[in-house]
Amino acid sequence: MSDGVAIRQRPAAEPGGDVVPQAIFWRPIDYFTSAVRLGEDDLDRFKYATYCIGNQLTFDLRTYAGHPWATVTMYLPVSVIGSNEVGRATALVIKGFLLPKQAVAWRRGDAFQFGQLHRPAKDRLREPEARLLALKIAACMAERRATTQELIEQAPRFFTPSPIDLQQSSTRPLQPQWHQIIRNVISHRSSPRGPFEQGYAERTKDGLLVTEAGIDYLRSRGYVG
Amino acid sequence: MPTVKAYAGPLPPGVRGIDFNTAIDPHPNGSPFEARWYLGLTAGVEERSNSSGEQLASIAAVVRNRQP
Repeated sequence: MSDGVAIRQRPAAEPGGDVVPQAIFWRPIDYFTSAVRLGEDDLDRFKYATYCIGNQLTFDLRTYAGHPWATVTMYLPVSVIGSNEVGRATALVIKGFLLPKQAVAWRRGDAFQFGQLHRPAKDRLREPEARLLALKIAACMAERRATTQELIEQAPRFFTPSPIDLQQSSTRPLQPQWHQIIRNVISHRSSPRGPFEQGYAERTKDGLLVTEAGIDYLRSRGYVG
Repeated sequence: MPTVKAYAGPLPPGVRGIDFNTAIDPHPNGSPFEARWYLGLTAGVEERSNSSGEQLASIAAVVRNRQP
């Protein structure tokens, strides 16, 4: 759970007007924000959140009604078209959200065919991402507290398990692999980069409780406004 | 900026909308999910206006109405 670029959510901001898609991520909008908003433009209705990095870079994450549910698209203002800043801005956003490389479905400059996008076979939940995911899920629960079982039950709202994630666990044959990855977040209590050692969560009898430092951390990742 | 915007690819079965085919290439700033044609920026886009005098973008297309 290393620090990266600080992203701030702008909960009161209206969605950008003329915007251009710059990247697509294999994660649903709930992965990025605890406060999904609804908008509409010339294309369709969409779910969105608006963010900024520093004082200059403002961007939207949107999922239009016609987009695959498990994806989100990053949009920059149309005024940025052709600017050298586009690639840098996209890199900052990916870094700020701590997105794994495999979660980036497409970014400006990549060749593409309309209507064609295939999730990489290697995209799967790994423990660093699961640590952040556990914090996000618990932060949405009553008293910011979640049991391990609740984390597992809620997780599919925040990410879509890949075929590898759904393979049978080697230690618990009746469960998919990604369940074990979530369990590891809680059981690897003394991991130096884990939420407990970082002060972002306290261990409870059967799960975790997100601390104020944890909420501040999620705020710096753009998850809460 | 007046723009024609569309999802890329055919409408999924059972989904309401306007399906169209066009020979006009979209602007290169689309994405795998979206195509755009900008008035003044994309070759082949024509200017239209509605009854309110609002400037609109238009492209020649074969349209199938799938929103009964």
